[in-house]
Amino acid sequence: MTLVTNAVDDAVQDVFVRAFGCALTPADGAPPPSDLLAIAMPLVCDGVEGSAVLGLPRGLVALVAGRLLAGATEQSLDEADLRDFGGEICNMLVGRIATRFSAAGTVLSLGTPQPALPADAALPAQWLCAGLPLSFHLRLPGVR
Amino acid sequence: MTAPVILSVDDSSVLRRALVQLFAPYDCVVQQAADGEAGLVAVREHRPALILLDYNMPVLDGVGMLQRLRLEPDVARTPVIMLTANAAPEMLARVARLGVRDYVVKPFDGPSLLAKVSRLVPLRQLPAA
Repeated sequence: MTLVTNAVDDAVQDVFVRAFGCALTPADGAPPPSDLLAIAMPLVCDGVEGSAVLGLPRGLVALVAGRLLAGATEQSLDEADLRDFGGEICNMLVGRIATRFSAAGTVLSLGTPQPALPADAALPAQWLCAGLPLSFHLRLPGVR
Repeated sequence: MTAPVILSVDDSSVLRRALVQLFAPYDCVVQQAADGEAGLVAVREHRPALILLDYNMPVLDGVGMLQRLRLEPDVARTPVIMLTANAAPEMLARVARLGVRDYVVKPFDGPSLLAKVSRLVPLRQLPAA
């Protein structure tokens, strides 16, 4: 396991399981969801530009939002809300990775979350979160 | 007595709404701003008793807003709690040097945030409707 792999796994566990109380299991390459929401966050690590890309269905964004905002559902949240909170989830994940990198003596500078092309996040799911497919990739060329 | 104003500065409207919901049972007013520039305007207008400030925002981030806030004599001493997903020691040291009183790792835990806020602002529970 590398720093990147460990940091990604720990961040996903911490945000989805510990903070939002969702069950998380390996996805074994489940196909990406049809209603994929894709969010990218630019990063710089030791002068290397990269990105974090989160792919998850809108239903999962709504489910997690409902743990923070009582009454929030996929029906009550509009597309702007779902993109907004999807970006916030990506920020929570990347923030934890930055904390982990810092403990290893590496500074990670973070941009702000932006919508990504679905093709960028349409990768096989790595996890099933509350039974819904989830992918989260850190792309930092040369950083292991 | 006037209800204290709490200013939420965060680019996530869902998170700001969650904060409004969290403080709804208390005798306080939650004002909102979506970035640091709007946050500075809101501080001058509403003179909040406390700012709940996001770290990572577009336009002007939390650190940028803090640096400018501390240069404005009328509002420079406004207490700030930072809401951040990044708890790296160098980041926490940086915001502490700018006078941040406390921080909460996102997503916030309601009771824990209320406890931190009530150390800085008197929160009086409203009678049940």
